[in-house]
Amino acid sequence: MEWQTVIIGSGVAAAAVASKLLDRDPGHALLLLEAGPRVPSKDRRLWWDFVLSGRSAYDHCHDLPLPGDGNTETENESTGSTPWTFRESRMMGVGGSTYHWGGWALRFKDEDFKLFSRTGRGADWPISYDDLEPYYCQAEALLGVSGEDPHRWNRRSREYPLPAFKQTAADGPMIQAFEQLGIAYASMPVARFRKCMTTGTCKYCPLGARFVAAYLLDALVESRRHPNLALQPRRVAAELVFDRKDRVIGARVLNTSTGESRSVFAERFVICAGSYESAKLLLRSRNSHWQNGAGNDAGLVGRHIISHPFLYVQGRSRDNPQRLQQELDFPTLMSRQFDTSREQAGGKLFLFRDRSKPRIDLAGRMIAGRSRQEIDAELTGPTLWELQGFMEEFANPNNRIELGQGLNRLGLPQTRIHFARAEGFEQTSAERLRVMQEVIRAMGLEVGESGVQPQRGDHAASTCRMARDRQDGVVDEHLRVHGIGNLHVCSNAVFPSGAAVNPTLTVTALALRLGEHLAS
Amino acid sequence: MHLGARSADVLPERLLESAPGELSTAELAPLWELFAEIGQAWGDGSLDPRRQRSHWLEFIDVRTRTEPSYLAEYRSAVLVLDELRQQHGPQMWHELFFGSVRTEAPTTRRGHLRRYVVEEFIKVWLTSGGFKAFGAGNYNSYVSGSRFAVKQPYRLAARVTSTHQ
Ligand SMILES: Cc1cc2nc3c(=O)[nH]c(=O)nc-3n(C[C@H](O)[C@H](O)[C@H](O)COP(=O)(O)OP(=O)(O)OC[C@H]3O[C@@H](n4cnc5c(N)ncnc54)[C@H](O)[C@@H]3O)c2cc1C
Ligand code: SF4
Repeated sequence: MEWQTVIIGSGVAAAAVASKLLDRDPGHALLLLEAGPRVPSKDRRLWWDFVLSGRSAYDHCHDLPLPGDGNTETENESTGSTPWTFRESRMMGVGGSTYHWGGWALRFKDEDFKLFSRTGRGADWPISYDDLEPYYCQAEALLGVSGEDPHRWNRRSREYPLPAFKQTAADGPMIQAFEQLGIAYASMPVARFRKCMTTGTCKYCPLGARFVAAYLLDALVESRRHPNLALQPRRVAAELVFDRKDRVIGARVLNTSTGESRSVFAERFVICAGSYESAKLLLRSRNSHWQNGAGNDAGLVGRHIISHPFLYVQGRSRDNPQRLQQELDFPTLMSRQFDTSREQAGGKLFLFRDRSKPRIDLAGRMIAGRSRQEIDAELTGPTLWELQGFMEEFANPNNRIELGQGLNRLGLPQTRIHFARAEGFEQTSAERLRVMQEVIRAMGLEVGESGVQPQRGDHAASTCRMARDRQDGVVDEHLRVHGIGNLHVCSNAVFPSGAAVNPTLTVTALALRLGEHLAS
Repeated sequence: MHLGARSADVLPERLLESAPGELSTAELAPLWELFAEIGQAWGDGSLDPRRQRSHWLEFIDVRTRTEPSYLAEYRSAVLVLDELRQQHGPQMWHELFFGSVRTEAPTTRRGHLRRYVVEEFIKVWLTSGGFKAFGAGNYNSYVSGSRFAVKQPYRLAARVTSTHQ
């Protein structure tokens, strides 16, 4: 065999599996295939361009907008009654979506692993919080998470590796409202290393102070300890090749730089291609053994797609005498008060203060010729505040991802998502919004605009969900595809349910657990 | 040639093309003056522009030495600044920031000065500390400093009674 292991994708899941495999066996013959290009990191020119134009260095690695709104280029398809937003919902390049992630790093809670048993909705995980707890600790160390848990929202065997960021002055009014209403709060745990200089351009950090999987992969590749490690950008795994039903022997790979296609062979394959592509690669791998796609005899690949409904409530203060502005590019105030087993049946709610408000675009005002006095009057005048929240979403088998027509500009197949909100969502989201409106009122503000943002795919999950039984899921508790001995999937795709908080710390913990399992 | 003739040259909207290179000290001087004048127009007098100079120089260096280079754009700006000075004298900065030049489309040399130099310099001025004149403690793209430093790099919430219930 050419390789011991081939990993498809190069995001945080891939990097964490790779780091574990190499940690145990530095000589491991390991190939990572990445469909997208390499994006230069910590590049001063790209950083200045980002500061001045707001255009990121990796715009070309995003999905293009859906048809409509005068867009000239279009990709993907959203069918179903609730439109699905693809734009910027993932990044296709070395380092994957952690290139543009916010770095919020939260653990799921005990009850999140038992959703079905507790509520009769969604699915249980075949593993428990305690199974994952040691890997959560490792994941927090790997990502460099700064955090605090004064309310013991999670049972933990190790404290956060770095202290929490202190709350900003602009958090003050909302903190007071939380206290008045008896809502417990804490600082948002974020993956920011010790060297962070609070520069606030986190989508393209000039210092490499926010975790990006590309940094970890570069360090692994550059280390002399790993002579048999290779990372190949612009290589799309187009299809898996089987010699018998329960064994993959190769992957057909398209080199998008040359247009050539060739197969790579390995003892084992791990698909870390994100929630969209992991399912799509299985669906593309149709052959005489797997007529509906690899691992898809039960027809579950691509089904149950979820993300997080994004709730928001705004309020406007009459004035802002302290000229409070949002001074960091990430939130420092959150609450898990409504992310408990009490709320689970209706959909848990995770609250946080908007990371971009209050903010007056000073540069825009100056460019528009406003004088210092005019700008100052605006800064101390009426000010917009916003409380936001993620709600837990319940999976529905009819909500699904499918292969679209043709390929995108990176050589990956187009995506079609069929999605509709769960029955009763209107009512439960309205209840959750009322809780949020109370906070805005306790701030002494009149409630302004509030509602649910259009569904985004940032936290897409559950398209290859994990279950002990092959009738219930695509992979088993060790993330092995049911019925295929040497094929694993590691991505948010394997989550049986999505909880209310961001997914990446959990997928990193799963990846470290998988890496350890494979290495042993 | 009449006063300001070169400033009215018709140009394509896009960035003027040039190979990467370096500005001379004489070329840097009027550009630096422009940058410092932004502080005069919007600052509160508390920030000495010399403290922003290294940041500004790094910006100019990156912008001129890497592709696509701003070298030609900056040289063109020097020419227009010179003509504006001849035309308006000390009023030139007001013309540039608040007057008729502000709204000029980037289809002339003068319009290019606005789009590719003044507007970008305004952003660089803010990100190199100018924002403090408006009362904030930190600003996106300002290298504020480590949160482990004795002096916190952003304004903190007033002491709250407790983070615990
Ligand atoms: C705007 C935004 C903000 C976010 N913020 C947060 C946050 O604050 N906290 C949090 O927890 N999560 C956040 N997320 C989610 C987070 O980014 C993802 O959960 C995480 O990055 C997923 O990692 P992954 O390795 O599973 O997949 P990805 O990072 O998506 O990596 C998959 C990689 O596989 C490659 N690939 C796909 N198919 C193939 C193929 N066939 N062949 C070869 N390569 C392939 C892709 O190009 C991609 O690079 C955010 C997401 C978005 C969009
Ligand atoms: S605030 Fe963001 S951009 Fe600035 S140093 Fe920290 S991680 Fe990097």
